[in-house]
Parts: sequence; C-alpha cells; structure tokens
Amino acid sequence: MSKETVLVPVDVSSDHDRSRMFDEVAEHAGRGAQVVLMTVVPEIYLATTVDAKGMIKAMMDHAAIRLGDVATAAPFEVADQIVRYGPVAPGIIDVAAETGATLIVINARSRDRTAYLLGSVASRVANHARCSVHVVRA
Amino acid sequence: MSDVDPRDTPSDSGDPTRANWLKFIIPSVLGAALFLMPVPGPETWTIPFGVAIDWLNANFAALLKWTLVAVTVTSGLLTLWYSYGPGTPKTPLMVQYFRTSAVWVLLRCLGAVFTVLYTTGMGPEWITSGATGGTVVGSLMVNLLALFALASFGLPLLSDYGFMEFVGALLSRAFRFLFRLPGRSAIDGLASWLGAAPLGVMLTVQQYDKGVYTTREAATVATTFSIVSIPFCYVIAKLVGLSDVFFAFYGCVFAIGFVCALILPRIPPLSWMPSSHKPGTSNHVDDTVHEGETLIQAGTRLGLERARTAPNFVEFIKNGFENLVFMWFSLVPATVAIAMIALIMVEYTPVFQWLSLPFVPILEWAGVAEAKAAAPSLVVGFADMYLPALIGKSIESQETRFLVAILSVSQLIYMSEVGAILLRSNLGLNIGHLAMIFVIRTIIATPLAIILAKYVVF
Repeated sequence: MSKETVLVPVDVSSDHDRSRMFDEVAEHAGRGAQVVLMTVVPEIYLATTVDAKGMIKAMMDHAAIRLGDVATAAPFEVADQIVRYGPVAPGIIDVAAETGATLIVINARSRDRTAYLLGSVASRVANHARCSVHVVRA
Repeated sequence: MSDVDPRDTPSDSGDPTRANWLKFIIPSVLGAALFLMPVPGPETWTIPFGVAIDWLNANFAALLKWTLVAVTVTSGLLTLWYSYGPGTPKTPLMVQYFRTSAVWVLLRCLGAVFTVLYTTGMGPEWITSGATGGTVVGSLMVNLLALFALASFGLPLLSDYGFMEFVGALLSRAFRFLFRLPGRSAIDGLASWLGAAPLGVMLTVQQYDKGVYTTREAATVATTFSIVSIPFCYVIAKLVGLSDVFFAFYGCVFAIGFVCALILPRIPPLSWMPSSHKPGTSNHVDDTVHEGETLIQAGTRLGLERARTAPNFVEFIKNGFENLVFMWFSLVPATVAIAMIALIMVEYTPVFQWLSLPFVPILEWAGVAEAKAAAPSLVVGFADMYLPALIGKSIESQETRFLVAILSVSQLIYMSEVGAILLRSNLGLNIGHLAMIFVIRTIIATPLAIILAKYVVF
C-alpha cells in the first residue's frame, strides 16, 4: 500500500498561530503519512520592475527561507518543501495533483467580508481540489 | 544553468582574469553611458536612453500604437484561455505569464478592451477623450512599451555586471555616516535607483534574512531608499511635459530623497522598529569594505565578483527577451486598465475631489497654481506611482506639473507594487506604518518641491 501524502499549504507572509493545523497534520504523520509543506507567492503587479524574472526568483527565495523556518518549527517531519508563484488556490491544487496528495490540510483564517464576496483560498481549494481537503479554523 | 566559461573564472592565484575585467568594465561603461551620461537633446541636455525613447516615439509611433493593440489583445485572450478556459500552459514561463487570478484576468481583458476602443475610435467619449484614453493609451503606454523594450536590455548592464556594487562600495561610508546604516545599504539603495524599487526591497530583505541588517535598518533601507529608477523617472517627466528639464527634475528628486532619508529613520514609525536581528540569525559582520581596503579597491573587488557570476551574452539576451515578454504581456494590459479606471474616476466622478478636498486650501496658501487640480496627486500616489503624474498631465502651470511629477516619484510607498512587497516581506511593517511613512514623505516633499520649482528650476 502506498504511503499517504498530506499537503500542507502555509502562508509565510505573516507569523500567525498554526498550532491547531499542525496538531492535525502531526496526527497524520504519526500514522505514517508523508508531509509536503508548500507556499505560494501570490502574483504581484511589478509595474516598475524591468527584471521581473529576477524579482520573482528573489520573492520565491525569500518564501523558501520562511518556509524552511516553518518546517523547522513544525512538530512533524517534512518530506518536501515546495514554493510556487502565481494565483494561490490553483497553485495549491496543481501541487496536490503533482505530488499525488491524498489529503490537503489548510488553515482558514480570514473571516472578513471579502471572503464572503470572493471566497477564501481555503474555500476555493475545498471546492476544486481532487483529493480530500481538511479545513482547520485557526 | 549555463556552462561557466573557464575564461570567466578567477585564475588559480585568485586574481581576476582579463575576461572577468572585460565582463565588469564593458557592460558597466555601456550602462552608465546609456542611463547616466548627459547628452545634448533637441532642446536641452538629456540622457541617451531618453534620446532613444524619443526617437522610437517619433519614428515608430504607428508601429508602437498597433503593437500595443496586439500585445493587450493577445494577453487578454491567452490569459482568459489559460486561466479559465481549457488551455493548459506547457512551460513554467507560460504559467507565470498567463495563468493568473480572477482580478488580473479581468484587468488584462479590460486593458485590451480599452486599448482597442481608444485606438479604433469606436469607444464612448469617456474612453476616447484626450484626458483618459489619450493620456493612458496615446501617451503613457506607448512610452512604457518603448521603455520596457530598451530597459529590459539596458538596465541589467547597470545592475548585473558589477557597476552597482562598485558605486555602492564607494558610497558605503557616506551611508554609514549620514544615515547610520551598514555600508551594504548603499548597494541595496542603488539597486532601486539603477534597477527597480522592488528589486532594492528584495535585496534588503535577503540581507535581513542573512542577519546583515536589524529589523529597523532593513525597514529603513526598504522604505527610504526604494527610489524610482531612472528610466521610469524619465517617463514620468516626459508624461507631464518636463523632459526638457529632466536633469533639474532628477536633481530635485535626489535632493528631496536625501532630506527624507536624513529625517525618516530618526522619527516614528521607523524609530519604533526593533533594533534586533531576525530570530535565528547572528549579527552578521558587514564586509562590504574589508579591513585595510580603500573604497575603490572594495568596489572593484565587489564589481569583479558580481561580473564573474553575471549572465554571459547569450543568457543576457535570453533574460532580456523573457523579461520583455513578461512586461509586455503581463504588465502592460493591467497598467492600461488600472490607469484608465483611475482617470475615468478623476474625470467623470467627484471621488478624487472629495479625497483631496482638505489639501486644496493648503496648496492655495502655498501659492500653488491650479491647486484644485493638483490636490488629488497628494493622496493618489499611495495607490500607484503613475497616478499623480497621470492626473497632473493636463495641468497648465509648469511649476504645478513639476510638483506633481516630484510627488509621483518621491512618495515611494505605493501599494500596487512596493507597498505590497513590503507587507509580505516580514520586516514588521504593517499598512499603518506604510501610510504614516507615505504621509511624512508627502509632508516633506511638497514644500521642498514648491520652493525648488519656484526658485531653482523655473
């Protein structure tokens, strides 16, 4: 039987409480699942950046360092760390498909009005991912 | 990853090779000549980059106009196809260019619609008028199209082959003395000036991640020295009809930036930032200038080091081309849409007049002509760098247009680009801090620009 893969998308742009989500992930890891940690650098309007390619690389490098910090502090072993650039929800769904994830565990943080209007990243992932999605209310 | 040419690697003795010297000197001299060397223009002194943009506009106006139509329409269709249609991008670059979120899909499609309606003259008056479509599509975007084409190949000559490190090292002691910052900050500040403001911010963040800067130093460098780069300053000056006083304009931008840099680090919110390094990093020694080295020796060493790992000629062309495609197809259509929406709001709604109402009496008191027309530029720059200049383009008073153009590039914190990057960069800056810095910069820049315009420039 192949190993279960749990994909854990995190927002590395701010320090916030991920303990409930990580406790859930630790339970899966304790049962033998391999954990893939990922983050997506949301696309940005680079209106005065001539070296857009270099700029995107710099933002992804910074995100990789932050993701590394999160992985180090996580209460489970991280099998892989992935950084993407672009629209966040589709990026998570793409990586889930590429890694053969059987489960996505994602934090739901925003409760503001924009989430009602546009939907949060978590709701978009839950609606469109091909695997199961566990949304943890932070 | 490209193969490394053995001629580009240091010799066994550690001394730079002839190829390394040439790779440092030739692009740096070419870049400096293109962007920094004063040359006589039709009416006054300008820079070769400005001459090239003017030449392209004068001789290829129709080609640029229809290229803009082709770029925006292609971008709109491909983005729609790959983001919401059945298309699957085949390469990572195609993903970066054309797979995007709903807001950007909408902006790119709107950009295409605005461009077609203006260029063909089929649109309603609120799109085809000189104050909206004429300013954005007919002036700003045609200039930006030419700027992107030239700058994507020209600016890397200054930023990638050691010139930035060389000049940065020369200025490192001045930065330490004047601004109480590590010498390395001179290089990161120059990255904004010679490359792009967001690039300067990201280089600063990288140094913070390594432990070179404290949180306060990183926030100071990122918010105070993220200067709008030379080519964009030229386009802003050209947009408001001040390209004939470009050197005076840029000198004033530099002087105002210098005054802001002296004041801002000493007052809140920057003085509130913690003077501690990033958790997990130790106090990294700033090794910009080694013990016993002169500034020229340090600059040459850093420049040669940078040139050694810089792209070779083939990579230089490839990178320039890829960046050009990215800017044309990703940025240009969205910029058309954002600028058009802003100008339509300015011309056909009272929103910006309400926003700027409190500033009209202040500008009138300061003797600014057409204060009502100029007042919105005091606030809209927080949203985007181009907006004050776009709004101020139709102002008749040359001095007031000068003020607007100065504000456009001196306020520095615009949320569409630099602000968004700062918020994501984990330097402890929140939207309140950024708004405060923007307001303080505006308060410092406005009277200085008025005085310089009245008594120095005109």
